[in-house]
Amino acid sequence: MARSSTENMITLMSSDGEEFMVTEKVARECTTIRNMLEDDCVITNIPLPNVTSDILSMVIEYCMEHVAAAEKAAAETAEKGSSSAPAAAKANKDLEEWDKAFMNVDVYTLCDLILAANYLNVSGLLDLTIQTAANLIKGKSPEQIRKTFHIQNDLSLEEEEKIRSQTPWAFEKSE
Amino acid sequence: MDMISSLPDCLLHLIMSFLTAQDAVRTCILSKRWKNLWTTLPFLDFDLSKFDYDGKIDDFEQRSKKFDKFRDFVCMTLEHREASYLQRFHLSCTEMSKFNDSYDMFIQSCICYALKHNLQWLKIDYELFSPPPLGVFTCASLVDVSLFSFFPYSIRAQGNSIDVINLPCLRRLYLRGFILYQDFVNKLFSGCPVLEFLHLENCEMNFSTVNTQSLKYLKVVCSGKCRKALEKRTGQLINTPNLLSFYLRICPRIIGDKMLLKMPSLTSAVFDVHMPKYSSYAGKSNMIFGLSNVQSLILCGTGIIMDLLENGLLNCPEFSNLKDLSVKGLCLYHHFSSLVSFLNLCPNLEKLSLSHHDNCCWVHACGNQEPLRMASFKCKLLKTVDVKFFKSDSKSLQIVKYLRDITFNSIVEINMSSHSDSCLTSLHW
Repeated sequence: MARSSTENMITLMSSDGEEFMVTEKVARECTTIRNMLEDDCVITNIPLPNVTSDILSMVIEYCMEHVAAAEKAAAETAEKGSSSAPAAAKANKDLEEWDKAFMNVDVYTLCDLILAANYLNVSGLLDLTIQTAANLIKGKSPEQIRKTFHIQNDLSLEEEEKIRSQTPWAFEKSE
Repeated sequence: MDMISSLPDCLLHLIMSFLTAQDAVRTCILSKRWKNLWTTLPFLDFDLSKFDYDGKIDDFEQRSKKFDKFRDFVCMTLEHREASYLQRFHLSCTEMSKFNDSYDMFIQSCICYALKHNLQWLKIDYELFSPPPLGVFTCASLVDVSLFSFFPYSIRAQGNSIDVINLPCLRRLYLRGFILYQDFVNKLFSGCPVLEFLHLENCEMNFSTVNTQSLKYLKVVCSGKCRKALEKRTGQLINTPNLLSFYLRICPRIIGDKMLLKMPSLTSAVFDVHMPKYSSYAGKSNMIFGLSNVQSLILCGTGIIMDLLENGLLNCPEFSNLKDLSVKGLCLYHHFSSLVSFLNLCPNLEKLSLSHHDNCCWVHACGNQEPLRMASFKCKLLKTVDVKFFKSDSKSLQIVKYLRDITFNSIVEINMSSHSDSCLTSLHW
């Protein structure tokens, strides 16, 4: 869809000083920014001291993809009078596939994305990243989880034993 | 510290909210950072079917052992928690094949624990014949409640057993397996002033009137076999002036005759009324009169539609807002002229979808019946017609050809698809 020339552009500035020009519609995907725009509608330059340029560019990529998908669905509905269920289901599936591919990142980036999605309040991205992190923990042994997330085990052997003896019901499986 | 451990508690709790309680509690062994995290987790998900257990579960005794372990785990987790706040609580244990008092006590005490902790979201999936503790109906913080009984029609929700219902924040309620009586229904709607979503599954509608201003989404599903035909009940009334969406998938035997629906704000409806062959539908089909303001309507189920089209159209109001109509389970060939009379009540229709039902008489039963009765309809705004049929069926081709003829003047896109290939083939005439 052709963007109208009158569409407002907003500049987002990352913690390391890089500037990103985005349409207001994309920026509004971040609830934090949307609230700023609603409080002060002439604002065009927003510094984001908590987000680095690598992560900010990923957040913008996510928002642009989701805005484009929503626009496409709206355009189809307007054109045909009503949305066709199979087409909508396919579009949803495509977006899910895109999300899945987007989540193919290392755990450091994943954690940075969680923090950024939380700070900028992008609910879709927060759900996606949190769910991805949870999937890396689900059904794994403590050792596997530590390895996945590079968690340093700072518990001494005695402390670990103590925790196990205090919560035996959490670890025993059967007799 | 590593990246994930440096996340604030609230985000780690959010990650843990996607884990079973067992996985969540077991993170305590990861490192010092994680040691006590679970004790303040405001989301707890206990599910017997997902419970990590090494023993065999082949017979009842072994399953009992697993259940005992699960129960110990749940009780100990609740006992060792330190937070005074519990936002979401899910308890599912439906693998038991026998019940005893301790099972009942266990479920009830878990629910009571949750209710004391400012609970907002409650989901219980259990095998009980007794109603949930009365506290569920007076817990002011609850926003979303799902109560599932494994067996249909097993829990009697009667006003005299549930004294007071006072749920000022409740927006969504999902009940499965309840028998609903009039006094309960009255108390429910007067005690839940902001209830917007109501979902009833395998519930018996033992009441005659529903009156509520707040309800916006209503879904009634009865997938299992009907328990029994109700005593003859006539003139059931569902008066929901602000309802936007209505989904009904049910056997008509569990609703009364001449059910009256008052839903003036309704925009979309799915009406799937299935019934064994040769049963009487008389008096049921006028139900759809109350849907006449909808913009989108899906009608499924052979019998009710045939009855509607054959006998029910006489006093049927005009569906002047209807833009998108889907009819499933109709013998197009046999009932085409009736369908056309219904279409004439839909002057602003833009899209029509027709498909046969799995159990339809489409090919077999209608083989030698009366030929297609030609009729014309005027849906001037009709843009799209989707037809789904058996490829080998020459009669459906005849229908499509006929549709083309009668809609020739407007620009109509007719899509056909057959069941052997599920993707739509678009044909422009």
